[in-house]
Amino acid sequence: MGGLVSYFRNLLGSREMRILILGLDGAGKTTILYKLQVGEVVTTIPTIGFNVEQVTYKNLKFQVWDLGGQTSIRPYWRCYYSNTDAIIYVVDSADRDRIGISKDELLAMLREEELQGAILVVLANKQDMDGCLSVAEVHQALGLEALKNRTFQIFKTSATKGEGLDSAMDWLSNALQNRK
Amino acid sequence: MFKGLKNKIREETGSDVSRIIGGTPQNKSTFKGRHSRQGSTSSIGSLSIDGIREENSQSPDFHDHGSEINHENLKSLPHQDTKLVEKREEEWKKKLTKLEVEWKQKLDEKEREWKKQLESKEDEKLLKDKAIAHLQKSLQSAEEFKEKYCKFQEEKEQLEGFQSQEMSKIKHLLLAKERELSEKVNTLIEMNSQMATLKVEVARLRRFEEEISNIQDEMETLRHSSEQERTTLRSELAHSEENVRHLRDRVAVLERRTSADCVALGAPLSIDERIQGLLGERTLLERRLEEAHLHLADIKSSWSSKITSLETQVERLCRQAAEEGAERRRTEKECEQLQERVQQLEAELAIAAEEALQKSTLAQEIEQLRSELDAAVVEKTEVSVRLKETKVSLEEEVKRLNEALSSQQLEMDSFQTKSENEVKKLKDELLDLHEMLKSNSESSKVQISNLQQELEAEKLKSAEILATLDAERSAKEAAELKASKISDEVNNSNKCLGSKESELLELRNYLAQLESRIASKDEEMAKIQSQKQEISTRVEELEKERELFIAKSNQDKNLNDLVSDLESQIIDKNKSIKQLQQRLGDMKKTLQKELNLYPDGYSGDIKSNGTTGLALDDTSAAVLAPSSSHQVSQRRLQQQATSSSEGNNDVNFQYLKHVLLKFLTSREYEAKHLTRAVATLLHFSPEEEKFLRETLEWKMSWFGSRPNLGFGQTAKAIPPS
Repeated sequence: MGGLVSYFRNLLGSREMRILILGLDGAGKTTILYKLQVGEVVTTIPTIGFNVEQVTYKNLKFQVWDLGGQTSIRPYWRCYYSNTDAIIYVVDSADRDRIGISKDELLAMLREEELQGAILVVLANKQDMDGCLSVAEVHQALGLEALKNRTFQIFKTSATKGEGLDSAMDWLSNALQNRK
Repeated sequence: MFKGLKNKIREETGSDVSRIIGGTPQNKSTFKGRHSRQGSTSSIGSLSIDGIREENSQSPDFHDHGSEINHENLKSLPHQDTKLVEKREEEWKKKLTKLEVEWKQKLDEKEREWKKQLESKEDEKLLKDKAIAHLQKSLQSAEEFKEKYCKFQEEKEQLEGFQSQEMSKIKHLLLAKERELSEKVNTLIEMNSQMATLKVEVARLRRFEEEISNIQDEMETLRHSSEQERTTLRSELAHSEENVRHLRDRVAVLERRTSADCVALGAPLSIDERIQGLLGERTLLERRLEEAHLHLADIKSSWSSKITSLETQVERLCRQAAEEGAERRRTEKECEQLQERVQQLEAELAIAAEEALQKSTLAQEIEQLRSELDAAVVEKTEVSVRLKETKVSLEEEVKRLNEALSSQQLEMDSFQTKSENEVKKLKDELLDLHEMLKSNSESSKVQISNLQQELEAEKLKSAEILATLDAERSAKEAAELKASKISDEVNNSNKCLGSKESELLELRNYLAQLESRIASKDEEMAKIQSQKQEISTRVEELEKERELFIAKSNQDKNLNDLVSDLESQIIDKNKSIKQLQQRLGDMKKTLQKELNLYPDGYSGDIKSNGTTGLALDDTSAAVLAPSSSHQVSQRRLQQQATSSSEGNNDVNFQYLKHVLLKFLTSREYEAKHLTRAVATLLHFSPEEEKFLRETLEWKMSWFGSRPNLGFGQTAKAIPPS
């Protein structure tokens, strides 16, 4: 039956957008996913595997995939890249030590052939923490200024306080609608 | 995974892992044949070390058990067969001994291998210990750096304390200097106020100058009045002389009348003779009178000449006084100039001009002015001396005039006495004539009485003349009084001069005071200059201190730079330590894993080392690239299964479980997205992956044929019943 429903949905043309939430472990991907879906901050455990939720934002439906970011399962991200419309890349702004690893993972991901058409949203998360990097510092640390031929935007967010997520989703929905 | 670890170990130890583990080159050659063996070993039993040991230990027991059974069989069997049995026993024993020998050989070999492995492990341990020692050394060096950093911080704090102390000292000195400067400013203000008071005094003295000029004007008016009085006296004298002449004319007229009366009465000749005698005597008297008049005129002329000379002298004195006044004004101007100079000097002092040359020139000018003042004073003294001289001469002349007046009075008295005597004589003669006339004629007596009356009138007139003379005398006395007044005025002017002199003295004293003040100010200037020099020396000292301070601050900066460098080094060291610790942890984990994996290898046979090596290669390769071989992937699955049997800690297994659960429980539409992940996790071949995707698409679609799934043993799906 699910197949039937999805088939009719495809026929009607209102294909729901496929969005991946990526980032290092502990960046707050699962918290952001459930903040977007439920609107509340839920207690999470480290994701070994993935979480898939359907998120409706301003009459747009997204199928959001939150992939676990631990070091050993990061190589499996590439198994999910096909047919992806947008990527939400979450960075822990307070984790100054691993921002370089985060940059390497981001650049490796952006090199993938399957993601050349995907829109990129970078969320500098955990802005409520003391001593965190600013948006400009995150922008510079990730080397985003060297990014070309890519629709992308960076936002400062705090998933636990729900700050910045609305503007990021606004921008993303506008970008996705404009791309059609 | 294990490639990375191998590389790490290679970095740390410098030797290859394969050498340490040993036997890896054999693996690849014996790879394909061993697969079935491994499968059989895995089918035999568990894969743990305990299993192996149990197996090893069980096998001899098994043989012993077999021998016991044989003995029991011996007892039960008939004696004939004992030989056969013994033969069999011997054969069995031989076989047993052979087996024992073989087992012993095998055990020895295994022991050697174990020893080798132990040695290799010990080597590894030594290498690890070395690495740990190296890390401890680096830790010690980091601690030393920390201590150095603490020392640097302490030194920095000490330097900052010194800096603050020096700053406070400098501030204190500056405050003291400011206080001194404020005191100096106050003294300057006091000097300025004194200057103002002195200016006020000078203004007051200028008023006195005006008074002096007024007094001089009064002097001149008094002189004019005296001259006017003298002229009036002269006119009065002339008037009296005219009166005297008038009287004489009258006397002459009366004598003619008497002579005419005598002629008219009778006794012509004798009386005429007598009258002629009398007339002659009268002419004589008239001559004498004229002589006296001439003498008086001479006296008057001499008097007037003397008066004119006195007037000229007075005029000269007036000129001298005017000159003196002019000189005085000049000196006063000079005084004013001097005061102005003093003011200028004071202004220069206020400006605090430190040029000693100007001061010396000013001092010279002051000395010149002093000498000029001295010259002016000398001139003043000279003028005063001259005034005194002129005064003395005037007094002498006045005395002389008085003497002349007294002599004239004496002469006048003598003349009067003479005239009185002559009058008496004339009276006597007249009495004689009366008597003669009485004797001659009584009519003449009447005439004589008339004449006597006239004579009395004349006497009265002479008395009047005497009165006029007395008045003249009194006028003279008044003139003398006026002269004395003039002299008094001169004295007053002298007094004024004295007062002026005293004022001059005061001014000199004031000048001396001013000079003393100038000297004191010079001293103050010298003090200020000395203080200035001290201040300049202090400023130089302070500058030196500042330079030292700057140098210290530079040293501080250098030290800070050093500290920051050291800090950065420490941070780098800490990072490297963290990395090394992480590596150590990883290595420990890998060691544990390897230790866990080794029993797998030993479960089957001696070649198990090869399988572990293969497994290492396989796991490292399988993560990124899907394996080409189906068998390898299967084995990988098996290995994951074996590792899961030891515990669910492996993240990869958890991930696989999660993905597979999601894949199996989700609808086809969502599951389609997971085919790639499942294929990657399970190391599907491209064909297998394609088959899976086609199957899913077939399930989703309403129409279409089922994909080819193969037949028999190679079939990939359960055939539909």
